[in-house]
Amino acid sequence: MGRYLLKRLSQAVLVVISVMVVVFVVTRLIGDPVAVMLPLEATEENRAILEAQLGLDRPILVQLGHYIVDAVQLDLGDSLWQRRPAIDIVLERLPPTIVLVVAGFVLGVLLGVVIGVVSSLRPGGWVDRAAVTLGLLGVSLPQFWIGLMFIVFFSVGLGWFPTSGSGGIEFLVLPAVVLALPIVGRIALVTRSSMIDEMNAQHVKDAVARGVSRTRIVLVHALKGAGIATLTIAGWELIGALAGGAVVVETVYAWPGIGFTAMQAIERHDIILVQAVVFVVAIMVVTINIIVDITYAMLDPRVKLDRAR
Amino acid sequence: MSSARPTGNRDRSRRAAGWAIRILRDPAALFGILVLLLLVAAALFASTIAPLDPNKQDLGARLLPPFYAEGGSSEHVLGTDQLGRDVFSRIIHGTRISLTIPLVSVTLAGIFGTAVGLLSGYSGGRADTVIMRIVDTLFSFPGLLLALTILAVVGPSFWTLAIVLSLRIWMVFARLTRGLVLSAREAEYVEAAELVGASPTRIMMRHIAPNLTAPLLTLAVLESAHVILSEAALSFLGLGIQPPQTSWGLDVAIGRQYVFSAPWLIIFPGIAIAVAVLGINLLASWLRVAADPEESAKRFAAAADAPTGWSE
Repeated sequence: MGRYLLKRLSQAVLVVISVMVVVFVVTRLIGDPVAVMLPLEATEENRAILEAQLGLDRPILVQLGHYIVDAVQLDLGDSLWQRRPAIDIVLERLPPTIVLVVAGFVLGVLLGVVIGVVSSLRPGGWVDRAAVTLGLLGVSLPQFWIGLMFIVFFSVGLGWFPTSGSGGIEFLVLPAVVLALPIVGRIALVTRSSMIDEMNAQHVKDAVARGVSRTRIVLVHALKGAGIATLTIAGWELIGALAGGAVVVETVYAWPGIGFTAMQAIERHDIILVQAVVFVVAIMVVTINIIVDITYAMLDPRVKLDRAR
Repeated sequence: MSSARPTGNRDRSRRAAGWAIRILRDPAALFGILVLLLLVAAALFASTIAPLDPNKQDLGARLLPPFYAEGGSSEHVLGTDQLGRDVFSRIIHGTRISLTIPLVSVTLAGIFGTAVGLLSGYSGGRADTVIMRIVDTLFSFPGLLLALTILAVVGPSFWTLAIVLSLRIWMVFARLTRGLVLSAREAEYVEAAELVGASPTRIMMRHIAPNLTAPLLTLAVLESAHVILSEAALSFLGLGIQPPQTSWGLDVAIGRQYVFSAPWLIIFPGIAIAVAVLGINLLASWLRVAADPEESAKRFAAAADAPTGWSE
């Protein structure tokens, strides 16, 4: 277990470093950070000053080295927009994102599993058809659009929730539900599909033959097997919500998290702050991956940690 | 799985008829096919179908409501935007972007990913390990956020968007192809071909490749739905398609400022995205069932349980 964890941790560090290198290459080599940051009327002199200030006049490999060494010490540079360490801004804006993502994720997984299990009880029945339709809608409707439609109906039309911003729990409801929708869809479809597989599996048939009650068979025997497939997808969903869904949903609802911050930073050409957001999200993504892998191994006795990968 | 051997014309047309009947019998698949045909027709004949030029401004006819609302007219069935442009015509023209972006991205990603998967699966050993480790690493990248960063720095355009989106999905094709190659290599007929001394190229093209077609096509359809959603989300965030080109996501972004006074500006482009993605998802889920007899028992099986680690 210890050896495995060490191996996974070193892989995780490798992932974060490759993300940093990609961002570095894109911003320094393909793009022109100074041109993006400076106003159009800037002179050559302004340009040279900013380049020196950012250390962009040094050889590219020296820059990359400094960049990674600094990043390891959590020094990601000063935000050009707010003139203070970018990492501080990201860490300040992180809690709202965590609240939103956790709320959306938990809601999505719970609803998804319930819908998936219920619809698998009678494949092809009307409940099943309704559930599958709902699931397909969940994965097909664009989140930013559903978010705006919810504002039109629930905030403006019915006046139940505030249109955007943050504060009490009433501000969290709409964004969390919107973030949860595709998760509900995919989790429901996957849970349903693997539940149907499990119900036809030999060990479940044996349990039926032994006279185990139907409730117990569905909730214990079948769900345990199906849970492993669901867990894998759930890990992906959490990552997707953090690195994708949150950006869209936070922007629609002006939710003050890191996704909204990233968009504000992009609007203000603050590449340093955008990099800091990507860095922190990359660390969270690899952490989630490790947690999923370990949970997976604990649930499925067939997976041996030391031999995995 | 399609068979490797070329079949006679009669056989082929009979098989095609068989597939057509199967589609007609499945309402979900039929809906999917119809949506796709409609989209293709709209994209091809946009200028003929659309009543007006999507970029023609008419400041005297700003923010007109759709036909069903008070003040609406049949001249602008779905109303007009803040510059007096016809919403319906813009949606029809938006089909072009919504179809060409996935076509380009999925083709690029499919070709590259399949090539990498073939190489990895067929060569095996060290090369396979290294390639798959790289693929794993890329799967752990923070998808949409990284795409946003790249687009912000490089500058959004049709091609940067198409390439960035294909960079996010080629790994899915690589993984699937590798898995299929590995299982095909186990097959007796491949071992037999190796024994009689067939060249690797021949084995690959003649014996392994035919097994890949159906699953890869299904994946391509499924990924197209993902790409449409991503394009719409990126365009909505202002980092995708740029004016004067039209895109459904871009139109929702424009309408956002008028969400309270002119909700039709976001309602209709959004419905267009939803219908397109739903249709393609339904088609993908049917294709999967149709191509795999084992799946037929689970008729409405999951359309989207092949996650790419991102959602919009």
